[in-house]
Amino acid sequence: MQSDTDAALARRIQNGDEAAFALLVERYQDRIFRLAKGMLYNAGGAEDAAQEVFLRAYTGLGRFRFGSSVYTWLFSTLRNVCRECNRRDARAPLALDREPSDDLADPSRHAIASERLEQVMQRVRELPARQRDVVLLRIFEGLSVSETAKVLRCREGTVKVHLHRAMKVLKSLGDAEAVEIT
Amino acid sequence: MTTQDPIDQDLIDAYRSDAAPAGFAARLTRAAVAQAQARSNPLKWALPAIASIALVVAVVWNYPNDATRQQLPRMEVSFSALPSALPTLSSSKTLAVPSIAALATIPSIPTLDLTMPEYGRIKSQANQLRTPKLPN
Repeated sequence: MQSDTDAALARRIQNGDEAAFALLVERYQDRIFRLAKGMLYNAGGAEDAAQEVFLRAYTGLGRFRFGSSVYTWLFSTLRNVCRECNRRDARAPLALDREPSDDLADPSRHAIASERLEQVMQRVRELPARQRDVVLLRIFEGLSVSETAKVLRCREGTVKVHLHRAMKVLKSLGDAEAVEIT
Repeated sequence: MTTQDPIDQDLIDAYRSDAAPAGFAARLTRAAVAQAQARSNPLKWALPAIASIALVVAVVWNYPNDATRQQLPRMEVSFSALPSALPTLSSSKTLAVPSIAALATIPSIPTLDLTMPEYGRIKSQANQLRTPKLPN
């Protein structure tokens, strides 16, 4: 069953197959969860956001026309959910110096890398949405340029440009931080 | 990736080690199925719809019909000050207000076989009476 393609799973879900939905969730839950953490200003809401994405997928897959991949469709839903959450959180702003989430602050779990990761993710979240998405998909999720372009529904050249600009910003922020520390 | 890069392999590994909480898929599947069943349950949406239709029917059914409406208190306007020559709309020289029926009789005035100038005069008098002047 695990060998089912996404499209086959989607068709089974459209026919009311709950097991197929469970398989789809298992296949993408980690990626969606991590991406939600990278997109949300309040990373603690990632689980709720991921849950909302899959719930929308379950009710909305009936209208899925297979014009794109299921992952692209899930990613678009995630982007919408995170945008809504961020808008809501912007109305009731969190403290500017956000605490790292419990998971990442756990000292027993490669603490140093986690701490650095949280700092970098904080900068990634502050990038323009398109650049942020490119960094998350291309660098962190390891998608190829063409896969990233497909998911973001843009040209490969656009992905490269966004990636270049994002890395430039991240590097300059990192350098500035290093100077501040010294 | 070089060590100069703001995002190195250690960071990427730390990122990818993060995963959804245990049991997430099972919980989510149960929630999704329950939500879908709740939506497909006809009683959830049919009962309020039937109740509102029944309410509308009851209101329309009990709405006062013509017979009961005539029993409502009415204000009478006297036309006793009318010149006797003026044809009145009823023998009692009274007009029920509001009375669509009385207004509907106005077009029947030409059947009195009046000449047109005479009809015009009567009509203008009737209009004056119908629009009472406010006291200064």
